[in-house]
Amino acid sequence: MNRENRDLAGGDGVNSVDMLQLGPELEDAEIRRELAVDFHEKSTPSPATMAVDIEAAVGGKREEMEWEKSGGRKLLLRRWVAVGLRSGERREGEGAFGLLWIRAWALRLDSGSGSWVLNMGFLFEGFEQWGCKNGVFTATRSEAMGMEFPLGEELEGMRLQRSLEVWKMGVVNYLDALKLQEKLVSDRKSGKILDTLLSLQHPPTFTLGKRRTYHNLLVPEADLQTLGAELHYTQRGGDITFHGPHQAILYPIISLRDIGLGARKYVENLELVMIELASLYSVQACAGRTCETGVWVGDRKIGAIGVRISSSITSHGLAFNIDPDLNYFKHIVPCGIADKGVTSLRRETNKLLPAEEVIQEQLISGFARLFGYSSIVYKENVSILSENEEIK
Amino acid sequence: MASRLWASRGASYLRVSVFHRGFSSVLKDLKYADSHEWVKVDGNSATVGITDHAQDHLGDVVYVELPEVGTTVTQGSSFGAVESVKATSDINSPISGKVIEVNEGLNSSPGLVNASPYENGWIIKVEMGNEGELNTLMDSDQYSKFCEEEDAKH
Repeated sequence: MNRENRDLAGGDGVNSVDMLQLGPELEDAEIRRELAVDFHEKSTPSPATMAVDIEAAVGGKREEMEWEKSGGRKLLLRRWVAVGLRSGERREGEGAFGLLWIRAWALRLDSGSGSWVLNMGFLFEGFEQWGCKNGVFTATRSEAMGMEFPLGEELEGMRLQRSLEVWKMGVVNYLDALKLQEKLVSDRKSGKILDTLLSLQHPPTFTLGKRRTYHNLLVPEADLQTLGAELHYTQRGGDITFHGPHQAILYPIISLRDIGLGARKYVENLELVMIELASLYSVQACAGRTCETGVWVGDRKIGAIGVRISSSITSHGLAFNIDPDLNYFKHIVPCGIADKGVTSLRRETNKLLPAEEVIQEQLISGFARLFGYSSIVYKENVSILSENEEIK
Repeated sequence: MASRLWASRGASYLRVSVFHRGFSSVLKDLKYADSHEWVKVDGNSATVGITDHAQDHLGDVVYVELPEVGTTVTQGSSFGAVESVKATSDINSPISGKVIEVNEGLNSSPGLVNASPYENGWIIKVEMGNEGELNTLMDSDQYSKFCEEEDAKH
């Protein structure tokens, strides 16, 4: 085990990040790790150090830890122990320990030459700047109680604690959804929000991708209004397509860089989400061959994909036909593929379909599972207001 | 206190991979941005494209959106896009300056980006506004390592 002990006395700060080789004895639901931490205290003239052995378990278990200071005094601490971020509770120490608190601690998983090492940091009261945003801990220098911690690093949140925020939105106008996505992409880029997933449907809408493949619109634009449909251009990839009620749409606004995926792998995963959903209803769907991105049952398309990636943040996404009015598709060459048809889950399955909301939930949880999110948070009070008003 | 490596069960619990991945090709004399674009400097002008790693992760490029000659580009900002597998991905400029030439060949043969990312698949040529920016970019060794770390994330 490697540990770095630093001394306060010299006044050159303390780096309380310890690096430990991880040696687990794995049990069924837990990973037991033995960690040791150095604990430095300022108030005595000759700094006393405390070494503690801590057993930590994954899963947000509350652990009580007690340790002894070398002078024989005890400090009782209680905190959440979980992988990733948790902020601690503070307890007044017994004896003359009043000044010292454990506020929070963070874990970082590092890979280096094939072995996994846990970096653990102890923070002291006064680290107001410690916070977890998108699973990232940021610490800056703090002169709390005269102690300086030249941490200044961003400790990465553990991958396993990635959380997905889901907005369930009902039927949303296409442009409103587009504006919302643009805002969310910007917020995700600047780290204001976590990975987010919009789950919704659109009123009858035809959309074109970046290449503006108008030639695949088989009726004059003017006629679309009589059909009760809108037409919009977008910056997404892909050709012309139709969105409408009873077609489940997912718009993930996620950071591909954070999970190390490129465009191709991302799209493949989106295809898998839809393929898995179809299989829940015993429908055998598969990904298209090269140049035919999407999800097919035989030579009928059941799910479409069109994505935009900007500085590794995604927008737009997938559309899965639960039971939309397929007649609308007659007015376009869907996705520019002339000799193939379009289909829906209703058409392809023998099974009785549950309420659409159930199917949309299955789509959401399939997405979360496939992309490795450990928790889903549903956003409350989701509403979209029109153009010039603030989007809630 | 043990000091062993993760058991593979631990690894799978964490859904991480400890496999070593193969390298995409990286050229020595170029500079690289962390958004996977490369720059080749020739006097005051610079040629820009996307790397082998980038094209591999994109899939087959079917369309390249090029800026117009004369457009200003800014380091870190988008100047165009590529489309592959129904995904349009922004291309960010590794340097600031003015676009003096674009690779028109990409209009008819977007696949050049995949086939020859460092040569015939070049995207734009830029008259550099600030050569100092080159120092903020990675060299080939740093970029190789960067790619390795990125690929280890999943």
